[in-house]
Amino acid sequence: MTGGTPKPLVDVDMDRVVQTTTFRVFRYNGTGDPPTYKDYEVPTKRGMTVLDGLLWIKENLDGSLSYRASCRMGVCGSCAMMINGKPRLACQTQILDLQTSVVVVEPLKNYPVVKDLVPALDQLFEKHEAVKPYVMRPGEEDELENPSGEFEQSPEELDEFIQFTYCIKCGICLAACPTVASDPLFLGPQALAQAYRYVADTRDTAYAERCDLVDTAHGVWRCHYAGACTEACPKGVDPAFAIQLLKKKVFQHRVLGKKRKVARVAPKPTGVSRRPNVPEPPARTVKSD
Amino acid sequence: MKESRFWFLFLIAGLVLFLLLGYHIVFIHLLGNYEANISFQSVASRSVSPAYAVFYLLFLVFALYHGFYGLRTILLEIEALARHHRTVTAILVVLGVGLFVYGTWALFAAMKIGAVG
Repeated sequence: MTGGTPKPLVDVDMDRVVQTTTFRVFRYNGTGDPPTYKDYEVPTKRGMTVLDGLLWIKENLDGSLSYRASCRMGVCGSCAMMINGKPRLACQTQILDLQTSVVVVEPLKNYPVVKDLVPALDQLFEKHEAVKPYVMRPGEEDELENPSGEFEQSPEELDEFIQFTYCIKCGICLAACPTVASDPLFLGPQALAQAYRYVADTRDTAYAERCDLVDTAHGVWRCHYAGACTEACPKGVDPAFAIQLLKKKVFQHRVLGKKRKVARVAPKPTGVSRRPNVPEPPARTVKSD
Repeated sequence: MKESRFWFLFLIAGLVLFLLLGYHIVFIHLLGNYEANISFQSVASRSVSPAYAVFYLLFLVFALYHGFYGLRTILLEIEALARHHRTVTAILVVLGVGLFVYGTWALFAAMKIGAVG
């Protein structure tokens, strides 16, 4: 056996500056003055993301630049912005992948701008909240507060909606949607995909209530299936597909009167006892009202 | 009525229009002598037929519904009108009913002319 540091498979110097990229950044001071674009020259290394570029600008060139960012790994959804005309996560977009020496960075379309690259995401969260994005069991609230067991849900039933639970609420789909651009009341792909996520979840029994919430003049029927939301989604959630499935569910419920299966609480296993090495669950940390 | 039912009727209207238009195109444009089919005598003889009267009436109803629902969809996606969907719907219903009455009157007038001619 030989010792020493293993040689990298590809011999690339990651610290070498390979190009100087011009960041053309949308600047708006939030006071109503007309917005402007300002150019910054960013020394670019392999693997640098647009977010890395913005951080470098803020640290080295202009501390007044505002943007949102947090996790830097495509999980939190904070750094959604328009990059060369397309809505993307800045932390997931490598500068060299854009294959251009000029990167135009703007705030997300279809949202008011607070400052520079910071959009006001109120409509995203208000529309999300409007579809009641949580499991509801009307008449069984106590079971949700103090569960007596697990809800029975098969892997196949879970497969019907699991993909749509990966939404990180970055707001990119609303920025891409042509209907949201013209109809401010349209619920939009994010909220509708989440409505489907709960309509398809057999643990939820508020099927009729949620169908009512989306079966409106600005609800699910206003989607023309442009598919821009799906193309832009950084997590592969496919909201356009969810909306078509939601149309089917609403149609089955409203027009055909079809009932959906409801998961029941699984009975406690009998004739078994807890293994001595399995600890009891911890005490509740959330107190019910 | 819930939007899903309006939308379902829109689909049904589209399907019915496809069948009615298909019938019209096949029997007026593709089969027989087109020039003869659209001559005054031919049109007048068709207009007195109760079967054709029903055909035109159905065509009128479904074309108006399909067209006006589509127009409503377009209008409701205009930012200035989006918040007034009840008013937009009411105006379109009045216009649609008005055009239906006018079309029906024209249909019966054509039947009278056809009967005389």
